Amino acid sequence: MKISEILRQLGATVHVTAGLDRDVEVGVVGDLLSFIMGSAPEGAVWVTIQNHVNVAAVAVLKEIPLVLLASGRTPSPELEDHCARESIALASTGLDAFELCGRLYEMGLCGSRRS
Amino acid sequence: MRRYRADLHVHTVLSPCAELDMGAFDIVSRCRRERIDIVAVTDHNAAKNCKAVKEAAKESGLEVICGLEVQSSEDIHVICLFPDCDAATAFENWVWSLLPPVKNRPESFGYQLVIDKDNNIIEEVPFLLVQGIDATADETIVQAHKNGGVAVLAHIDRPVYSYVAVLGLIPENLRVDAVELSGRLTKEEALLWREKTAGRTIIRSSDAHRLDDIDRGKTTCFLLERPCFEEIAMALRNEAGRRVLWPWE
Repeated sequence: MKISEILRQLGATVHVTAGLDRDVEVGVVGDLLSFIMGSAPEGAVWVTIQNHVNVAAVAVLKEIPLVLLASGRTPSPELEDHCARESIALASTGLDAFELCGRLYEMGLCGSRRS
Repeated sequence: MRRYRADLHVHTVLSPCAELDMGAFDIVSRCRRERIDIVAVTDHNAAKNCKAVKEAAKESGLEVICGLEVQSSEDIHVICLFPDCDAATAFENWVWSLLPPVKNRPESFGYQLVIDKDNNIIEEVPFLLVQGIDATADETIVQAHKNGGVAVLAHIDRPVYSYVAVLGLIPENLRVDAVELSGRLTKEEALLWREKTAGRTIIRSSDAHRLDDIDRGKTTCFLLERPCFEEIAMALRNEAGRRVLWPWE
């Protein structure tokens, strides 16, 4: 599914608009960056409440095209800058992580086990 | 300049997770038995027992540094050390203004006791101290410096409550004064961390929650003129010949 379509269906607030025509099929959720570094499937959509600038570095490492901040968290200016520089799409929503993952699952995305 | 042995991370009975043997005089005598010269009192999000340990240490030859172990909004632990009790208290006021109003349940979490130098209980802190405050680790470091202190990333080798576990890596421009490794690491493990944190000052501490945890083998040697906060701060920054010796030598 195209990132632009995911963001449209979620009604998410988009902070960085890079690469919105890319396709994604897999998702991952977590706030411990060491865990995401170790376990995220490459190319996954990443759902998190973590808005530290290091999120961008981990996204680059795992080739994550889209970071979705849940529970109304907004990105720090540093995170926005880094995502823009690295061409990572960044959006936020008031939905909590559970609800957000449910919506993504309904759209046809899955976790790493089924990919 | 001479060597001083320091343990810059020790809890007291104010930390709910600490054993009730962590009284003021008890910590002082245990440190002396282990030939430790400098100890920092670092309870979770609190500095209220620094004074008791400092007073209990008078004429013992043990130098007591006032500090706190802050838990940030991301559940990262940061050791913050200050020149004196007043500076630590000012910082503690900032921490408490950001602490969520959750009550402590001593039967689940443990007692949070403020004591005097003779271990008399002055008060019990009613709200839970082991929670993340409403400030990030990076903001906590900035605030510690504003209050005249130094900041050390606690036990970065651990899978929980550590900067590296939560945020993956330590940004090069993070103005933290040192990083702490756990006393239980082997020399080989410690060397791997030294490679990973190239250029950072590394200290080893006990993170003692009971008296038996206070151990000469879980400390760090400092090269200082005098055993005091100012000299330790200089050593962490590697200034004017003051320095931290590699703990796993």
